[in-house]
Amino acid sequence: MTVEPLPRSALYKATDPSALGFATTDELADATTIIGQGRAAAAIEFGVGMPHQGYNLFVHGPSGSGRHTAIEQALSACAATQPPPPDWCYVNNFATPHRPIAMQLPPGMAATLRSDMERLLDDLLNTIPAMFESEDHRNRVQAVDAEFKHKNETEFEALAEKAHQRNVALIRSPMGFAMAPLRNGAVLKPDEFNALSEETRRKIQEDIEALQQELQEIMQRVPEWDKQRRDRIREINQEMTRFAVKHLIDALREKYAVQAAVLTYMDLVETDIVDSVEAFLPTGETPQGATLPFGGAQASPRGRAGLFRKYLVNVVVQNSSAKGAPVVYEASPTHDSLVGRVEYLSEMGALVTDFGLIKGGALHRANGGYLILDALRLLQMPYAWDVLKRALRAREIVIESIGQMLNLINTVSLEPQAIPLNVKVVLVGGRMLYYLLSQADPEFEDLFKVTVDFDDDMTRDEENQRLYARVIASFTRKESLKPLSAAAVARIIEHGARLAGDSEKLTARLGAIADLARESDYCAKQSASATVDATHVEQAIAAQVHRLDRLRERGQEAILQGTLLIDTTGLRVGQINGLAVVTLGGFSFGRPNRITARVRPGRGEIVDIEREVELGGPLHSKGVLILAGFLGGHYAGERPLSLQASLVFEQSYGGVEGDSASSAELYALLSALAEIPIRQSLAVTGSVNQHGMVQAIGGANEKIEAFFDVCAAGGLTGEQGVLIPKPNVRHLMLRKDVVEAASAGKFHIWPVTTIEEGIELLTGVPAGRRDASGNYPDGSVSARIVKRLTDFANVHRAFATDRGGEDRK
Amino acid sequence: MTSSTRILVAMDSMTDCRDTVRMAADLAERLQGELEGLFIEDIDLINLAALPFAHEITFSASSRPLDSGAMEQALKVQARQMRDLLVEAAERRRLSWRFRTARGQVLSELSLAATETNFVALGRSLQTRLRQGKASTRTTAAASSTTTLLLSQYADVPLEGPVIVLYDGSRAALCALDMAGRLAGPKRSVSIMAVAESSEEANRLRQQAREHCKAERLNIDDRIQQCRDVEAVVAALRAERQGIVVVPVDGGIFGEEALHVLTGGLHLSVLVVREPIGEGNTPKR
Repeated sequence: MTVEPLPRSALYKATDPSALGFATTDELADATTIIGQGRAAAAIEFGVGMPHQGYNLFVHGPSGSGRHTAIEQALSACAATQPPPPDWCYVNNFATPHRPIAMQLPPGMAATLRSDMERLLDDLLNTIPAMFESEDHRNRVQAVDAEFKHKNETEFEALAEKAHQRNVALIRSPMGFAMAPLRNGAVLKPDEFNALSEETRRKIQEDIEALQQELQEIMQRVPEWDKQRRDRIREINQEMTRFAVKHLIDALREKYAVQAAVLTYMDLVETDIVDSVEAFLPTGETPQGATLPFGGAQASPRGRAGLFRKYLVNVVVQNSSAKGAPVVYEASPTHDSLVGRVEYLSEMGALVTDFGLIKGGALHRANGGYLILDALRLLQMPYAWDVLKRALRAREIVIESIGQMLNLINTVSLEPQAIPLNVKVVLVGGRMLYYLLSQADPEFEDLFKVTVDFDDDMTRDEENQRLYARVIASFTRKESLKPLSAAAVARIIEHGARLAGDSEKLTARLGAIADLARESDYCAKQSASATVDATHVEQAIAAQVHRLDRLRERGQEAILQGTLLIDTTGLRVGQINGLAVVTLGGFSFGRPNRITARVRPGRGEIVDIEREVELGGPLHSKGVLILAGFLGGHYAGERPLSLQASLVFEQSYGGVEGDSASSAELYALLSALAEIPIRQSLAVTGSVNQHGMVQAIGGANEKIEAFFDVCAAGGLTGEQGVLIPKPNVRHLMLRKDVVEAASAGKFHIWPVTTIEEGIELLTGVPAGRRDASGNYPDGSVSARIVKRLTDFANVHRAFATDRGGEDRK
Repeated sequence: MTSSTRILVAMDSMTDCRDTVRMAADLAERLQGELEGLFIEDIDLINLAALPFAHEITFSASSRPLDSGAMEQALKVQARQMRDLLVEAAERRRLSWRFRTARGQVLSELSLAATETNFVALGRSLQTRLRQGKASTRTTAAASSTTTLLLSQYADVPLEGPVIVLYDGSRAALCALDMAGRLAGPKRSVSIMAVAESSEEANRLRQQAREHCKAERLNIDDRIQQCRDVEAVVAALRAERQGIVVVPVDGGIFGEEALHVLTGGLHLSVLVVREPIGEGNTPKR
């Protein structure tokens, strides 16, 4: 069986610039559809159109695949055909101020109401003090004052007169009044009093006690009179205030006649103004007879303005200039930024708040439209996911802090009235996140019924290549980049295939393509070129690689310096060049690894040293265990596999995962068993099954290029090359220098289907096929393996007999 | 300006004299005078407290016994508090001060002290006593006739603001004009209200006041308002929230009764200027 090296055409699938049908991207129209994402586009259309509850969207797929752009375009187009949602505002709840009232108004009306209320307040601040300064008010209050003063004085004067008739004086003491006996207009001195007869003293004392009793009764009535006086004055104040306020508020009632909620609110405002008219007077002034609780206007550091906040309107959603339904993208979806929050002011060392400090969230702004959120950010924010689900489930927005939600805070705070919610939420995230949520959160599938799955790549056919070119053209125009030549676009398309890891596919990560276009534009500007050409794209790609390949370069250096032992010439038994691929920070590169195998008689065990020291992952271990199956099936079908073999990735210190080296390990093992050397000028990649079929692996391009670089550094001999699984041939999009070397016969890539094909290439010895009697041809690799295994079995048997037939480990 | 201007703040035990002290200190500062405090221990109260059956009916209508020991102690405490108040007000304004305590009939002691000073500042409680003190009317009147009285009204009405003088053409009114000029100082002007029943009389008073002020070099507002009587003055000044009214009292338009109406209807403090008996009592600039 002869395997031929791959021809140049199989190593790189180029795009013919002339077949693209344009000279530069200036000639192309903008792309209007999502390319290569038919499934996702249909899902978006369905999700946006479904009006029922729970039909929210979860958009997932690779980042940079245009998920955000696609969803925003689709939502904006749909939203433009819908009416703008109503305004929402919060107003004071005069009965229970900690429960502000939510008020719905037609679009644009909330701001008007706010202005009207501010104007009303201005008018009242002028009208009410003027009313209290009026002659009418002053006269009425003075009449009441005079009436009660007269009542007071009459009582005291009558008592004083009565006392005077009994030679007793009513005098002021530091804390009140007292009754003192008089003689000749002066209070009796103690010695004068004691000089009186007992009868006289007793009489004076009785008179004074009786008068004191009356005085006490009068004093008890004084507070009641004062209360009556204040009540009367308050009635006057309220009556006059109502008169002053009514005509101002009636004007607003007429303006908002069809808004029942506003009319109810106006009634409450009017009542409250009448009840708290003192606040409208200049600071420190009270209407006569009125008392301001806690110092009235001076009680708040916010001053008088603070007292009137309760009549203002806090607009939380304003759609006055909206053309359609809102499409809101919330970049930082925290708990508070979603449902809104209640802010606080620091006053006299305490935190205070009111309805005017309620701030709306993204749900308020998107209510009646669409809300786009990043799923990962949403889940990273404490309680944001919980509060979003609760809002969607309850179909209302409840503003409460995390502390309130978890019952951590028991102090009185605001409980704003909930606002009905009608929003379609679009979460954008990764696939893993979608599957995790589906599995871990039972509510997820009920609330996000529409899955929008963006593909990683698309078919590389002519239609998609043309659409790719239009996307690039749109992008260059949008960002004012230089136009790209057809050759440049072709090179970008080829790079798109390389990123997809498949010559027949194009990557759907258009973000990476856009980056390449930007960077190519930069290179073109550096060289003062009017258009971006293929050379600029090449420069940009090379620069990208150069920025990222420090580790690859260090590995290469180590090999060339002999620190990492890799042979690219000569023959060695039980030693082969395997190939691994490393992905770090979004950059993938290949790395050759020496794999060695040693064999001795044993009990059919193949020791994977990587696994023994816990440096091998489960997939790698699986690959090694498959080798035992292959050996047993091929060479020890009728006798025990009396083999003890050990396999190791030499100088590997960081762990090995994947089964892509299993074919290389098998070749090394076969070489060790057959004692036939392997050509060190070759490297191998590919996994293998128990029947010896070589299977596809990932990173074929990077692996080939890594071995090529090592060989090229030492000088290409024309003998060197790489064995790859035949199914990987379609994935090849190799670097230009590799392709050129292969074309010149200096480097070879062999597509291998079976282990037999591979071992023949590696050793130059026929693998050998069983004949009718089940024997392999003499001299073949297989014949030598069978003989070696038979020898091992004999040794094992002899050893067991010497030990008294005891079979021990 | 006299160097011997002395302002007596009379205080008794009845009320908080804080506002009167403050206003008297403000006045002393303007006139660059000195402050004198007099706390009068009311002998009637002391005598009453010594009687075995003496009781006090408090403002909360409860009755509690009085005893002379507690009363003496209370008066001492009050006197000390008043002194501290006076010292604080005087030192803040860098004024000379004196303080003394007297025991006796309040009005008699007040009359006696008033004969030795230029100004007497009275709080509302003592103003009331003065009006009601029928027994001592004669002595008080004798003292008052030689004294300028500052009648403080409300705590929140500052002395700053306009200096308003009521002018009725009497000799006391000329003294009031001079006093108002001293209070206003060189940087402010005096507002004059001519109190006359007819326009002709008012014009005459205006002319007279202008001539006097020109001669004495007093700054006055050009516009001199006319009021027919005391009630009209009260109505015109009721809205004022700062300043002081200088009132001439000579038994003419502004007798004791008119003064009562004025102090009852205004928020502003009132400076009562009486007609001088001798040359020595004429206010000097």
